[in-house]
Amino acid sequence: MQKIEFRDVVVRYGTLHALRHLSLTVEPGEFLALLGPSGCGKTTLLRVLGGFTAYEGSVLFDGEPVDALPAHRRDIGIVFQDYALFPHKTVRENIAFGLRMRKTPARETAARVEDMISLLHLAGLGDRYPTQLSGGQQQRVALARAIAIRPRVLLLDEPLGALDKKLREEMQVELRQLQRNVGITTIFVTHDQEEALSLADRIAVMNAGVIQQIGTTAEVYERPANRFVAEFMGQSNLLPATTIERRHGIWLCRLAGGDVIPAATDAALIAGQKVLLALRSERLQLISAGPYDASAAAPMLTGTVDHVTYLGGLIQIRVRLATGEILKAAVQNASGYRSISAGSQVRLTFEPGDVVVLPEDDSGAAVGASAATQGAVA
Amino acid sequence: MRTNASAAGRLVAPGIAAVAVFFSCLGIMAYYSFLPSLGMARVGSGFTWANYGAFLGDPFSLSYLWRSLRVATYTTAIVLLLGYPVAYFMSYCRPRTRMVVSVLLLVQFFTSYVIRTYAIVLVLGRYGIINQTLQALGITQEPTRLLFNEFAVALGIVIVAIPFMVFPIYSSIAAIPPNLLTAAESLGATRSKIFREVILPMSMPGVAAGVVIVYLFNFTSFITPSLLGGGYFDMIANLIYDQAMNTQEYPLAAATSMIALLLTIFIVYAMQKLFGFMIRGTER
Amino acid sequence: MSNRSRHLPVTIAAVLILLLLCAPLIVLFGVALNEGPQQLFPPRGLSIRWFLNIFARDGFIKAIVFSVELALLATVASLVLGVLAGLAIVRYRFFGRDLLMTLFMSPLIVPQVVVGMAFLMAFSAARIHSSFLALFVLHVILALPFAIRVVVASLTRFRISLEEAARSLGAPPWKAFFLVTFPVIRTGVVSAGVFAFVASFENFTATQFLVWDRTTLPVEIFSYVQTENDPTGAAMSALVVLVVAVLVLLLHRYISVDALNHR
Repeated sequence: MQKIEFRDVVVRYGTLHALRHLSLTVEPGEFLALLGPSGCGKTTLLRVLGGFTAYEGSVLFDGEPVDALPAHRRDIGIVFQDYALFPHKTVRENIAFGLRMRKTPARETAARVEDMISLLHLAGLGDRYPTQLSGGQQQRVALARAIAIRPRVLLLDEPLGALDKKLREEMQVELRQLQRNVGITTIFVTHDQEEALSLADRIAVMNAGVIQQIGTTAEVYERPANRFVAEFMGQSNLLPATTIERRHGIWLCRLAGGDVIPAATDAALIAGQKVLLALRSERLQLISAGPYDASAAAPMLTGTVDHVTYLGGLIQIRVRLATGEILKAAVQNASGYRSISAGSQVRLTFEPGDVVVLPEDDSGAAVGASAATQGAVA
Repeated sequence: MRTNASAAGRLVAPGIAAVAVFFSCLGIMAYYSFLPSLGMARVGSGFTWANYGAFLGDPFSLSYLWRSLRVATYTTAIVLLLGYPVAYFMSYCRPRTRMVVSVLLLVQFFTSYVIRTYAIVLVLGRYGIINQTLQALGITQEPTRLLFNEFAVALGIVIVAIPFMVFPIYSSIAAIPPNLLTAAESLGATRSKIFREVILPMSMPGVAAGVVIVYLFNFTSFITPSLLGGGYFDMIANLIYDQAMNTQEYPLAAATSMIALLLTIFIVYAMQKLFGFMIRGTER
Repeated sequence: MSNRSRHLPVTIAAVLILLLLCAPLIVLFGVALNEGPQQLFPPRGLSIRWFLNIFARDGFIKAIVFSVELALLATVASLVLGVLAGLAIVRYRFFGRDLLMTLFMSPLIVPQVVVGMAFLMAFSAARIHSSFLALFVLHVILALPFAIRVVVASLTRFRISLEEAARSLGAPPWKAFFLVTFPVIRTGVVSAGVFAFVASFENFTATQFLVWDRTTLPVEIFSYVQTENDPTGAAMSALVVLVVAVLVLLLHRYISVDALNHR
């Protein structure tokens, strides 16, 4: 179990920056997800760690810089996106490869290979060639090969991308259990935010070569630091607003259409400030139409249903507010199918604490956020 | 970490050395072409254009050039007409048939030109099949001389060159995505329309490559005029050989070679431009 | 493509043209099997005496041996150069990369006569009178374009993640190449080797300028058929065609029309 540190890493291709002054610490034994769209630099970061890409800055294992070490001496286990299994070697030979390179004695090599085969449920496949295996099996061989050498850190580059949904979900569970058993520091690259949420201890959201936010899964999801993170994780409604006044620890904000909604935030705001509010679709709840008490504490928005999408477990509803703004709500399809249809009047409510205040621009720094929620690195 | 340039440099260095030797030889030949020729492999000193003048000013020498260009042009056209159907056939026939055709063509490709040309000598020779047939049918009483003329040389050049036209054309036809043909058919195109509108235009890069290769090959042909022409129909390559090996006038031969080489480069350049223009024209 | 029968005229034309191509070779075999010393086709009487005559003549045997030696050496050399250069061209982006590829292909454009001529002049100017060295260099140059073209095609198709995986598991770059990359591109290398070998073995026009003490098989056949009139020349030629045919059939996996056309 090792601690990995990136200090001020820059990767340039001509004038194009793949990584900009990136600093990151991965704690020993942690499962960190690098999450972001294609081209954000997450794979580049992985390749920097592996020693396959030239970079400026420093990479440290347990405090020791490894920049001078070539790829074959960095002692890292990598699972590539295309698995990269040696087609001319059997499963056993593939798994044993790293051990052979380390001149491990034959008996110990054979024993470890057998351990890996049973650990990764590959029994009976030891003498097959990669082309004779299914996608899921190939993926497990790739994992076995990477772990067999007991590396200092395990890197996974979108390893589940080629699998179908059911298989992917099974592998996610297996992968997490495996990582906990073996206890290797692991960095996992993916563009699928659901996958990141289900697997990781912490998530680093990346875009354009910069880490937008890093924190626990809950932090990143509940308290996105900027617009990019809010949009990338789950479904959010992004509402430009202007602050009015602070009342009982809650800031009242006026939306573009005129509605006033509360936001519970510690941010240091002033009256009349332009902000961006983020409100997740699943936090919006429907209230049955009926007499409405205007003095009630719960905030309330009224509107007409524009469009309903039935997704089985969830029902997505597009609501057009009286003021013209569009909100997306996602409600649980709990007790039977609720007959909402386009054109019906609805009322939406939510908790003030569900409203997140984001900076108006995308520069990355959260608006005066407290230390506990600040995570973005400029 | 190593920079890209230095690692790459180390890898290509041996290859570049070989190519450098090649170009040095050409350079030395170029140098010789400007020296006075004293015959019998002796050369004088001092820079002179005399060799080039001797060639370009001599109608006899120029006639070789003209002859080679002329023959190359019509033989290449014939090779194209004969080679295209074979390539097209290969694209639609059954895989097993294609394998047979491919083997036949590869055997031709891998057999030395000397052998292939000699075989044609045997066909046209006094005891060859053509003469035997003509006599058997009573058309002629004694063997006619079919060899040692332009017809024999042209025939030989054409037959030997056919595989070189077929390969690139087949390659470009095979590269056409099958969906295009299916789409055309679904839109109501008949087979000849499909050929004219889809296959023919898209095979042009292959045709261009084949024409360039075959034209150069025919223009500088040595073995065929030598064996089938017997000295009666020499082409430019034979002239160079004669100057170098028989009269041993190295500088003269060098000058003739340089002229042939420059012509070759010009032909490649001109053809690429011409075909580039044509290909762009078909891509509306 | 559907409905092959609709292409009947093309099919007939293609078959006739292929017959035209093969006819001379059939005649070659026929003549070689003649009983008498006349080069008749169809042959009068059948006998393999002319094939046996090949081995009675020193010249052909020596030429065969020399040609094979030369071709093997030239093939090995051009493959090594080709793989090295191919790695550089495919994996690195550097200034002049396309130009370099063109330069490597240039021996194919220069007329064979000119190449032979130039080598003759250069080597005699350098006072090198060894047939073997001059021919070796010549044949490496002639084989190199074929070797490089096929190797580059192979390397382009190779998934580099395989090599990176090997390196991440602890193999230094050279080991990764020999244990992983090379076995995977081996088919391509063999294919390149076959083309290189043939380019060297069958070459005549340039080679004839440089043969002094030892000759290659094509040169030997050429001078034989210009002076002698018996079927031995045809027999030797037919033998070569036979060997080529057998090789093509055996190695069909490695050499195909597609391998020839990778640009």
